Order: sequence, then C-alpha cells, then structure tokens
Amino acid sequence: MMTMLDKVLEQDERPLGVLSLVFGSLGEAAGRQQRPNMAKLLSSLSLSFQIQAMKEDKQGALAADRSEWLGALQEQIKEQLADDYKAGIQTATELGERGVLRALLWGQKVSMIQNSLIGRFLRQENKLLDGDQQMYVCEACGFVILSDGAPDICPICKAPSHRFASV
Amino acid sequence: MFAVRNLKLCTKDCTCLYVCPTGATATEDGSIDANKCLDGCRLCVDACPSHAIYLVYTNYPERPLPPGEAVSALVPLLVQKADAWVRLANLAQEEGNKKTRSLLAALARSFEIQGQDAIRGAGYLIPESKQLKALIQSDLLDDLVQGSLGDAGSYAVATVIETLVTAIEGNRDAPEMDLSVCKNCGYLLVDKTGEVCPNCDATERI
Repeated sequence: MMTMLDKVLEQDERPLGVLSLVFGSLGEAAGRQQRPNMAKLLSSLSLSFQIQAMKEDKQGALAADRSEWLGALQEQIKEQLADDYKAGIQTATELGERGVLRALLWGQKVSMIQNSLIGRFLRQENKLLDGDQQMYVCEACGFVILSDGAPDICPICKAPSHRFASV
Repeated sequence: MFAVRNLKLCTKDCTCLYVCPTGATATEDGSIDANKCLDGCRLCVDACPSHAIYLVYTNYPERPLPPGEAVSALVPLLVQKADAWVRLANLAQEEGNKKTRSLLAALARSFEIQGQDAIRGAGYLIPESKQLKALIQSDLLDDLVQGSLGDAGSYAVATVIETLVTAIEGNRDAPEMDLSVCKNCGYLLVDKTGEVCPNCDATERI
C-alpha cells in the first residue's frame, strides 16, 4: 500500500520541507501528550529539515524575480481552487472522511484569502503596509489578515482571538 | 490516563484539591503530579467548575488511516504548501523592510499551517502512529540528510531518531537531550559538539 510519503516522493525527490512539517506537527502533538523532551527532539528534527530545505531553495530564491514568483504562486492557488480542492472535497465527502474533508474545506478558504492578499500586495506593494496595522495568522487554520488587532474570532475556523499570532 | 490542569482556565476554586484521593492535584507549581494520579479516576475533572482539568491518555487508540484516495487528494496540495512555505521563508529572510518581511513571514506561516493540517489529515497524528514508524524504518531520512549534510549529519539524525524510537516503544517521554541546530546548514548538534558547526564552520545555532 502506498503511504503518503510514497506519493509525495512521486512529485518531489527531496521532500525536505514536507518532512520538516511532519516532524513539526508531531512535535506539537508530543507536547500536548505532556512529553516535553520528545517534543524538543521532534521540533529539533523539524528545524534541521527546514533549514536544509531553505538552503537548497536559497539559490532559486535569490535568482527569481519576486513579483513574478508571487504571481505564479497566485496562479497555482487559483488552479488548486478550480481543480484539486473541488475534486478532493468531493472525494472526501463520498468516502465519509471527515478529518480530510475538514482540512480541505478550511484549506480552500485559506487559499482564497492568500490569493487575495498576494494580489493586493502585488498591486500596492509597500503602500499596503503603510499604516499601523500588523499581520495576524490564525494558528489553527492559517487564516492571515492585516489588521489593527487579532480578530475576536477566526472567520474560517471560528477559533477565538488568543489563537492568533502576530507576525 | 492522568490528569492535567490548564492554568489559563484555572480560577482557583480549589475543589480539585479536596476531592483528589491521593493529593496529586496539590502541588506547589500548579501542575498535577502524574505519578500520584490514579489513572483517571476523574474526580478532579468532574469537580472543577471551570473545566480546567482534562485527562491525557498514556495509550492513544490507533486512528484508522484514511483510504488511499483521500490521501491522494491531499498530496499535491501538501507538496505545494511545503514549497511555498520554504520559498516565502527565504524571501522573508532576505527582505530588509520590516513590514514587508512580516507580510512574507505571515504568508509563510499560513502555508506552513496548511501543510501541517494536510499531514494530520493523512494520518500523522501522534508520534506513536504507524505512519511515523514506517517513515523511520524507510531509508528516506538517511538518503535525504546524506544529500545535504553527509555521513556525519546523517549519523546525528540517526542518533536522535534512535532515542525517539526507544521512547515511543517504551510509551514514555524521551530523556532530556542537549540539542541545537546549526542556523546556517541545519546540522543537528548533539551535546554541544564544539564551538563551530562540524559541517559548515558556522557559529550560530538555534
């Protein structure tokens, strides 16, 4: 049986970023299980893989035209909204997979927000960030907003304001 | 099972102190002594008017894995989220303007969270999961790390993984380890190995 990683390897030979995310998520889980040393082990592995991933991407990041890359990212998001998310939501619904369905529904909404934010940034560049507003991210679902303070409630996942982190 | 107190919710009514048969709830630092806790007798949980106490399993039930089709739906999204996260993290690192940097970093964090969400959806919920075991037993970690950090780097990761596996199999927390990560290349430093990174000679570590 193909595991998630087998499928990831079909698309990416060196999925350092994906592995960082795996260890990061498991590290948080270990923390919630009241196993702080295990959590530290896992988060160190996560950080190691993240830095390795960033190093391998560094050249590409320096060489690319940022606005062009952001524009391409927007196109990718739009494609996902048109194809992957729609198809995935249908599959998960038919299979009765509630966990996967929930991840896809929130992911879809967060993607719409990301698309909109990138669009605004590309149009307004630094003027977008002129005022006193700060960036806030919902730690539960990834909703991101430029705002005066953390929202009382996340519009996507309904998490309360203390779940928001300012960046 | 053992009881844990969420100090953010605790309103100091102290009913938990009176009902606990062993005195586990009465500690000086606000924690509940898991060693004294009677494997989930629930008296404190039910007594707390602020719902500040909850039970943590020592053995979590295995979650049935989502079928292959559902995982296939998540994978293309996951790969894109991971790539976008890494690139945005690099772009943020390179950006001098503080506000632009925070926008890039916020977007990076957003993709990171989406990626982790997809991973949990695919079955990587807890360290005890079969998924992590399969990952560790495969050659993937070794191959990847060899590629960036060579034999020594791979050995350091293997050491950490061994400790992790022992803890998971023993169903307990790992022993404390002196761990840090080289800020420049990601080399895992066990026990403060020297002043500089053995892989890239950098001095900064996290």
